[in-house]
Amino acid sequence: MKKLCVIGTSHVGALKTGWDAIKAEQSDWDIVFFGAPDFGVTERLRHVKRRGSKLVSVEKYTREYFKVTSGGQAEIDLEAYDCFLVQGAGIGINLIMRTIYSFFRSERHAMSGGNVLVSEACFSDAVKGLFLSSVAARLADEIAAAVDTPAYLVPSPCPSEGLLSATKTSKKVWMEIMRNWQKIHAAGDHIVLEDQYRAGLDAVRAQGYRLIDIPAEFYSAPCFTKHEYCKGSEWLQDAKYEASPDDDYLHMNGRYGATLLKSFFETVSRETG
Amino acid sequence: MKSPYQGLPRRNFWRTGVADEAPETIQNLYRHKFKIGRKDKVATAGSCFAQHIARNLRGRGFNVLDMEPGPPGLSDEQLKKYGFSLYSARFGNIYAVRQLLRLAQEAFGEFKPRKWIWERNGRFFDALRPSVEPEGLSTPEQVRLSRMMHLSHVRRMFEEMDVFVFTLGLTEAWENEESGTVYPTALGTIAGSYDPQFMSFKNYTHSQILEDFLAFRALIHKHNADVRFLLTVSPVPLTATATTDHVLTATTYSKSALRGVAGELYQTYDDIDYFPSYEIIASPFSKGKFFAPNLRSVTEEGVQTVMRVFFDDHDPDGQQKTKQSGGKPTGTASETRVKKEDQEGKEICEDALLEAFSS
Repeated sequence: MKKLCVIGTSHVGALKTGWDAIKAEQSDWDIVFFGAPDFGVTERLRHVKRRGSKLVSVEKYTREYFKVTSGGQAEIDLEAYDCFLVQGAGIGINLIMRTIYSFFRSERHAMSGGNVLVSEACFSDAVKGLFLSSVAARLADEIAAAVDTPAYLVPSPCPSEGLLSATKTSKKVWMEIMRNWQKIHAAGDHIVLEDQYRAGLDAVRAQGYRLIDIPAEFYSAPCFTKHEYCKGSEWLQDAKYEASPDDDYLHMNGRYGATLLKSFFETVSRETG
Repeated sequence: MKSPYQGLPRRNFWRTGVADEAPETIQNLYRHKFKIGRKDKVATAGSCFAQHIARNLRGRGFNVLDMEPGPPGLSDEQLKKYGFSLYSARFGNIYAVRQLLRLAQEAFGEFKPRKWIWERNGRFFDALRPSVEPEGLSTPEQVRLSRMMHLSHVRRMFEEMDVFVFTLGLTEAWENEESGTVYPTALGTIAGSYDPQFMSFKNYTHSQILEDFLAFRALIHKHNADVRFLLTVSPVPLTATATTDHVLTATTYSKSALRGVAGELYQTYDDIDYFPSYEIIASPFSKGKFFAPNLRSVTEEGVQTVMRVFFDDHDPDGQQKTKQSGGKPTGTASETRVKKEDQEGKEICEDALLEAFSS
């Protein structure tokens, strides 16, 4: 049996729920999850550093989250696994929207007041740089520096198409995200953003990272996930896995997690035999 | 009556002030007219050499304004490539004082440049800051919009700054006489093709430069009465001259005129200080050792010597603050790939493009 270590943020909830649903039929694999949700825009996983052959959080909350999600392990022993999967952690389309598109527009986007207009080359370089300097890329580097075990990266989910018709959400930050995505869609910029996102992922691959694609069946349109993969979503929150609110259009459900994991297992088996 | 030189300090005499000193250790070369503190909002602009000053002030923890920060994700090298964080706004290099004056006038609605959008291979450039988007933008409208937004940041910079650090770079410039528009490069250098009917060569005189700076100062004081100015003269020689003179003669004229203007302004106005970066790098004092083999570029050692003299006076107790990288550990490939390729502090200069025209 191969042992997989999954490292991720609140989105680990979907993978965990999906895994619980399919593990009986995946007898070749066992998974240990290490999750720590972002705190606002602060990535908790950035506190995770390599100490010899272990990944250790230098911050107590992340350590606590690791203990809860892994079943008691505060540290990741890199020698104990056959494979690693880092989910999100700085690679995802939502991050482009929140950190770059909210302030900058490329010449290919529709313009709106207040955003700084830059060339497509500049915007695209920023996206690539964002992904290449992500916590996910760093964790993959840290793992590679310690062990020969393959480490895969997978982007965080694209938001659900459900937010395009939503009128309100319970959290202020979700409200802002919802409005932004609605504007992006209305302007047609989601098509351009998808291109820029793909180019960013290609840059990650070009640097030698093992990046797996989000399965094509998840997409409803560029940048968006079919709502059926969001309904009944699960997230890692308050040190436990739980159902996320109905108006959460960013986290996905167990079906998403199960499909992603199956696709991942296929990729690994194809690449490693 | 005793000689007026009797009793003067060692710094007043060439032998004891210069010949017996070394650039790396010299003391009292510069005494500030006004103190620049870490809380002062410092704006920087000027020719390429000014980029070093901005970078080092930031590195030291001074409050250098950055009105137009670049997108997250860009490395330091990429930020420079796209004109971000070189200066306090994304205006690129400002070589001539007339160019600075026009920028301020434009920012405050007192000047409208003409023919400032240039085209090359279907891409459009802001001719007044051509280096900030090396590949240009898709349409003239985008260039116009981008400049409009830029000017709002420039205006805010002029209104908010406490100290304006300006490095005087060149006396030579290209101007559309009809409109008074000053360009940092000639048509044909970056885009378009040179048209003598449209653009004429200027080699500003001492009195023109002085007048331009005083006009600039008066305009800024209208919007920001308390601002102070720190002038430096770039020690970097001309890459090329468009005069009939030899480039060495042209460089000497240019630097002498700029140094003369800076000196006169310093002597006349309490709110204008002068910092001798030119003397440290280009005078016999340094025996040319701070120039790279091309005898033009200033070495990092030279830059650090200049900044040491500056900080010895303005920030004697300060410690070099290393830039944090968001808590990320160093040493991994992902870190080094996108991080700081800035160690050599290579500057971005449009005039370096002129080298391509030499045969």
